[in-house]
Amino acid sequence: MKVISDAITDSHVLEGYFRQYFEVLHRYAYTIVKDSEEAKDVVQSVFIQLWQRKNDVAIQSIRSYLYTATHNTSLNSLRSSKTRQTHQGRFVAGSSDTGNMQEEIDSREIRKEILAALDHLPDRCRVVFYKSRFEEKTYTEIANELNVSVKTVEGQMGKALRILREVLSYEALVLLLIWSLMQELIKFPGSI
Amino acid sequence: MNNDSNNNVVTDELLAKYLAGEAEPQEAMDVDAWVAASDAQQRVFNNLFDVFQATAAKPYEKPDISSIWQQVAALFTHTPTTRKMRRGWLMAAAAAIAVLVTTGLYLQFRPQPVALQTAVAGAGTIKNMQLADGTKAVLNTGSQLRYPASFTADSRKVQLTGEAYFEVAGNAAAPFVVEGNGVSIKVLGTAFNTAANDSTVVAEVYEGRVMLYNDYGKVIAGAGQTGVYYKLQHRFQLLPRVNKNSSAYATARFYFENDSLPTICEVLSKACHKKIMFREPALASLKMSSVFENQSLDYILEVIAATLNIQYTYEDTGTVVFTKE
Repeated sequence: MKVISDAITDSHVLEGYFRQYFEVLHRYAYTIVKDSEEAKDVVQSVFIQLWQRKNDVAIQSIRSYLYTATHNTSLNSLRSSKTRQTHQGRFVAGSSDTGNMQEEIDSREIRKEILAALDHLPDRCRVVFYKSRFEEKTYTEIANELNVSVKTVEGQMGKALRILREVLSYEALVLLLIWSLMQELIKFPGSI
Repeated sequence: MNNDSNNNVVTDELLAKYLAGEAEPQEAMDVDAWVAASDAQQRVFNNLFDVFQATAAKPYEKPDISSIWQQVAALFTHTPTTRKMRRGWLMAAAAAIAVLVTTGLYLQFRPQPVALQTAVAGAGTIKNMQLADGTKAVLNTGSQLRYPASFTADSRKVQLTGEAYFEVAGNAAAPFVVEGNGVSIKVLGTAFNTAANDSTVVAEVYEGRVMLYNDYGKVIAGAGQTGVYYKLQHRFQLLPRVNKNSSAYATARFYFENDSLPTICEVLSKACHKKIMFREPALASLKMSSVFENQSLDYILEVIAATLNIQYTYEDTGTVVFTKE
């Protein structure tokens, strides 16, 4: 256990934390704000704040501090920027923000697999999953709408995840893998 | 890493909570520790993460930590160490001047350690810049250029991450060099586009000549040619063509020569940072030729629609969709 004011003596120490934690914090922020670019801004500002406050806070665990700050900053960013809209229609239609035909086609295949897998969910489970994923509602919002407890929503989402994991064929996972590889490849200009 | 203590903590409910953006800090820490504990758990997590992010409105993009660090590092450099170094350098410079004066010898000054400035083209935007020597640079979206506020007499060096189009001001005494991605591009007076990904660096030359080089070798590409550097194999290649539309985002010039609608959509989407598409398979075989210079996107879409006898509409999301008449 280190105290921050001791730990961050210069920018090299900070760089170490940055390289160690940026990716996991960014992924955590992404799950909350649901936008990679916004998540990047969140985590950057967490590190900038940490640097600015290095002399006036003493914190027991840098890891806890970073996760907590990322959580709070994400929620704030969500409140100030969020204009939520249902994107289920777009998901089904297979349109994405990528602007590349090949990727478009591949991601459509995966969407088809996932849509088919969602049919295996029991009704109640599917409703909860749709509200969480396609309407970007929080557990509390879903619980209020369906007049159930937050614990129930948690349970249904856990169940959805378990079923999806089992139903999604090996094939779908291979497709996902190909898709992520394609995303790397398409950065290469189409001309060559 | 203590595997046993982590294995029991993470349930499907907790994973779902994390992926749905509902995890408290302590829960997120538990999930991440569990993921890091074994390769098998990492795979399970990655698969689930992919499923969840495939159902998200905006795809997850893995952050490039090094380039983000470069962007913010300047904010973290006010430390005693650097101040001391700067004073030390000043004293060395003073000593050098003293030597110069007393001996009367002609000594060429070593290039000063120039502070580089950073320009970034944020998501969905391009950035137009003019450098101190008059060189025009256009950064494509997500790219970053580090450059000095002023150049020294005998060298013009900039550092690029990503893709940019350059029209380099001629100056034979000071070659213009673009560094980055493990290879340098020396410009011998020219207009060219360069892009890089994890495995290749590409320079497409429209005017003049450029040389791609590093310790492993070099290739010289002239007008109408493309120099390629394969990063993993350390291999250079010369291709006898350029894609004129690669620089369209910078020049607003589009050349279509008997190109199919999928190609046209792809070129326009990339250059305009807008999704332009069609859904009906029958449209894929339509072809056309045309040149557009400095026209608005609407004008271009109008001409394409009229030529191919199809229609286009803007959807609520801003996506442009071509449909049959």
